Amino acid sequence: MMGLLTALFFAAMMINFPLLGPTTAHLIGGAVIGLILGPFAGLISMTIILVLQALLFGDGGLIVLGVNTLNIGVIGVFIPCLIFIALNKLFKPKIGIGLYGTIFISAFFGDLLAAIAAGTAVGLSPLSPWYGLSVAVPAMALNHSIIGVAEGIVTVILIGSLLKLRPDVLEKSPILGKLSLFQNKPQNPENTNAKA
Amino acid sequence: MKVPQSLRDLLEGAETLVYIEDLSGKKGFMQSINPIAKLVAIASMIISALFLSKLSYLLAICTIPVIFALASHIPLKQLFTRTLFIPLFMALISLPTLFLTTGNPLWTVNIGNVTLAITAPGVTQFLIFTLRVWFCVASLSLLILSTGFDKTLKILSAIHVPPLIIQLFSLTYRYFFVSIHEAQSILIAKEARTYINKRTLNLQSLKDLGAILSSLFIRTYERSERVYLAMKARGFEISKTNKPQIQTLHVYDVVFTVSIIIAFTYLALL
Repeated sequence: MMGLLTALFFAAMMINFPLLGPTTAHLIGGAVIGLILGPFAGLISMTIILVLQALLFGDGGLIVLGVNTLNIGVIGVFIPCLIFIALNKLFKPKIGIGLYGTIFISAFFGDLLAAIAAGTAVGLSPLSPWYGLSVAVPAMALNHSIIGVAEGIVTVILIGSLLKLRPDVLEKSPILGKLSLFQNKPQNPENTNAKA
Repeated sequence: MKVPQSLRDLLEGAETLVYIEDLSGKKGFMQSINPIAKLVAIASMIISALFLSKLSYLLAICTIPVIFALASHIPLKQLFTRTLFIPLFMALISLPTLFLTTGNPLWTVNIGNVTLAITAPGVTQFLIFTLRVWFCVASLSLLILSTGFDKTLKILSAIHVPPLIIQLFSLTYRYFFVSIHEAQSILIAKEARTYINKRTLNLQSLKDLGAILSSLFIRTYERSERVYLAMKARGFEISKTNKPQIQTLHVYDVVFTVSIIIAFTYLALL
């Protein structure tokens, strides 16, 4: 499952969608990976994507791999998971707008905070002294508030489809498996009979 | 027929990987060096370049990736295509340094009441920064283009990366091609049935992307389940995976690595 999701988002990151003017953006997938695999397995999965992108496509680079892993792997994966766990405990949403809203908020803030962390790193870097925190952080936050919405919508559609078509995949998830619809699931009568 | 952008993105990715495998299989100078010796040499080249502060030295060392590429039968067009984007992007980012560094003005521009001056130290700083980035990217690209994925995994194994992580790299690489194959089928089917006049970001395009990804996930997941069961049926276990054998270290590998380390450390200390 980890290999599959890693490969899927490695491929999905190559599909660019148009943003403002000639610029394009691609998904990060930290929220989907984190919510399906859990934060720790998600971190490993994201790190592998970053290493492969740096090694095979020269995207990101090996020297900044540590900071990329911190931003995209740790913040981009752990923050959506933490937000989701907190909102799930507070509101216990059922399938519908409540659950989709929770997933959207988790993915949006995961993406936004990862971007703000990247902006902070650029702002503090002595290699780019001409862009301070006051320039780098708002620039990244503004761009990623748009990308974050896109990431949120795609995450909602992806997880929503899986809930409808293959809920068994999500049931095993350490994060989405805690949803009330899986927790309060009635036992299979065949199994109950077998136990009896 | 015009190939849709999303398909082109995926195909370009797959093409790059196949091309890397093809180049790394050729008989050339860098391909003949032991992968670990090559990694150490290139790491020392990159680290030393970060400490170089003289433009002339940087210009001189920038010829090294070019020479190595020629000796390794790596087309220069391929090397420059892979390595020019990031330095150009970094050059754009470091443009303010031309104006913000104090020194003798070479050229002044008057925009309204503001006078901007490009200074000689500013130009030097700008060139040092951009060339340094190009050298680092070119050296790393050279390592990848001459090594290939299989040997890269062997390097990871030799530096004691846990087998689980190596297996994950390996599975990701294999599933990547499966994902691309499935994505291609989905995208071709979608493009054949829909007409989009203008590519702009809107809710519909995001819905489409989400639907494609979920469909891709389910299809690939089902295929991966079949593959995993087949692997298990044939006795696959991560703990039983054979440690990959790395090619033996020859005298010329040691000579190459040591000379690179000495030369670049000397340049960095000058």
